[in-house]
Amino acid sequence: TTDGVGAASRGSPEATQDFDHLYNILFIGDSHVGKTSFLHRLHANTFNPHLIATVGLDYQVKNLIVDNKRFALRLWDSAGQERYRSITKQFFRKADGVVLMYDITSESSFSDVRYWLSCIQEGAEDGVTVLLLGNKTDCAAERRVPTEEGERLAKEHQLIFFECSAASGHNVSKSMVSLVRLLKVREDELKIKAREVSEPPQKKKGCC
Amino acid sequence: SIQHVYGAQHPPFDPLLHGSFTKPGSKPPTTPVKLKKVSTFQEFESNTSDAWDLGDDDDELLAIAAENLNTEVVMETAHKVIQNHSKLQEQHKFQEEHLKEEHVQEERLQEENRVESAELTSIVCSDNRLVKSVSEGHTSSPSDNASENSSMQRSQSLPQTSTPPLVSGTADYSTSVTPALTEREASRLDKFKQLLAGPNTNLEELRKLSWSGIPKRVRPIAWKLLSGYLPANVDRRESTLQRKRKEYFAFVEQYYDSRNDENHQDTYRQIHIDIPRMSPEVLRLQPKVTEIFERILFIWAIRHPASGYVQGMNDLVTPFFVVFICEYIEEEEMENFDVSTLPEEVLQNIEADSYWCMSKLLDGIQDNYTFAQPGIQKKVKMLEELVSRIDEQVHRHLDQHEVKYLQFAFRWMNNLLMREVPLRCTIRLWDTYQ
Repeated sequence: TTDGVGAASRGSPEATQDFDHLYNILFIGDSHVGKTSFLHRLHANTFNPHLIATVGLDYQVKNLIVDNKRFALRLWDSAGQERYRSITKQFFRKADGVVLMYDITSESSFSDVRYWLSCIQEGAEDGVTVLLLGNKTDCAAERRVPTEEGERLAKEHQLIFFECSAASGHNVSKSMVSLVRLLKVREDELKIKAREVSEPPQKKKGCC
Repeated sequence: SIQHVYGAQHPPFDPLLHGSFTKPGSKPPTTPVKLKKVSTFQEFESNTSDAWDLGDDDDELLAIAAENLNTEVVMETAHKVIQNHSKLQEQHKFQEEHLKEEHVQEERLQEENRVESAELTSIVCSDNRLVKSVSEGHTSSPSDNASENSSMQRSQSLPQTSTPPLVSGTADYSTSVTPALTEREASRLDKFKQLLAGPNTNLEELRKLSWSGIPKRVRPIAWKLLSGYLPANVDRRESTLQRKRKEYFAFVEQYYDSRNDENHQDTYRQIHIDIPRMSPEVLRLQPKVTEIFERILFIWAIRHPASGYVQGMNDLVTPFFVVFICEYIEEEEMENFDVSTLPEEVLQNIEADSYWCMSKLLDGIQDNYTFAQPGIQKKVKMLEELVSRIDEQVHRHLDQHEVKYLQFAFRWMNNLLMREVPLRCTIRLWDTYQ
């Protein structure tokens, strides 16, 4: 594949142990925007229009090779309904990255993005990497949220932004790869910071 | 060899569990009995399908079990388990009496609401079985990553790939491979019929008899009685049905038009998008069925504002609807049956009965669905506690891998295991919840 991206082999049961980096990624957004379908596309590269509504949390692992590094992604699929938020909130803290999804054919799912951002701010680690996704680009005729609005919101909150389609596969892996690259950058930064803290820069120990 | 599973009340005899029962705190024995790896639910089911048509009382079951296992240990363990469960049940009953006073319950007609206590006990027991399959998976494959990987996929594809039609199959009680009832089945059916005939049905007796499965023909009436929807007195049943059905449709009349009002539209929208996203087992989700489910759930939701509609409740309508519709359909027809060919009045009765029975069920577990879902959190805690006691190894393993019980058991409790087992098994399981 292009861009140095590929799926890691999953031959042996230990395959998932063979990774260079492991990230927890939480999927949030209103009910019925396509979180589970997106994950299904990522996992099986097909579209299943008959997926059942998620209850509580679901979980799967995806291995990706990006830039010759092996990444294991723990993907947490959360239920969008309000009542479940007290349950799903408990998992925000664990997330290295958050995928916040809305449906470009639903204005309310887009206006709820601000609500979800406040949940992230409240529950997740500071500076957590967020990917904003506008799903269902295949339903162009029913579009209610212009691309520019998504872009503007992403810019305002410094989020990565893509429009995608779980149904067609458009931008599905591409957006995940961008997220993974950013997570890697952030991890490296944190490592450097941690090193600086544990080994404070040596001051000149002059003798005179 | 036969593997025994005795419904929700009696967990299977598992050498691992048994080991930790007799020596609490000690490590599970390096298994003397070879554990079969159970890789799919279908396999598990076929291994244990004999359980569904098994017999009458505990002693008989224990005797059968004893033939295959060391009699002494088995009997000792089994009695212990049964004792524990009845103790637990007493406790819950007691707690429930107290809780009841605090609960806002609209239906006070029933003499006692056993739903919750029975349900709790059943979860505890059925989890034994689930715990068992986890531990087997663990012993046979050192890494769980592969199964983690596929778990989501598998759970979602299960209902679609299960070929047997709805409620039927060899597993169902009254419909064995031979069309005629066996002598044993006929005698069980007779026992039920006698009990149901009245003049007053002894509910305790009925409940006891139902533990080992309710014959299909009497299941609708048995469920209606056990849930407290119908009175024990035969003469009052018909009038109660009439009254309750009328009452339900008065609700529909009163509330259903408000589904697009500003304060209800979110509820209705959520129900509306969830129903098509249900397991396709349900009569292929015909428009008529969708309509009925929407009405039932919407009416329930706005009459119970403390919880409202929560995803997963939609699943809970299904067993009632399917069981009640089976009164009117031969099950061979079930798979391709066009619901709209039934007379309107029949469908209305099924709808109202499903509504009331679901209400009875939900009344007992309403705190599963109120804010922060305390009922579920409590049950998941109980499960964790239980696993840590009976299978420390599994508990430690989960802990080591930072797997929280809430991650995998939330749905079990939220949907009463309906997403984990085929519908006909759920129906059989519910014989013991009522």
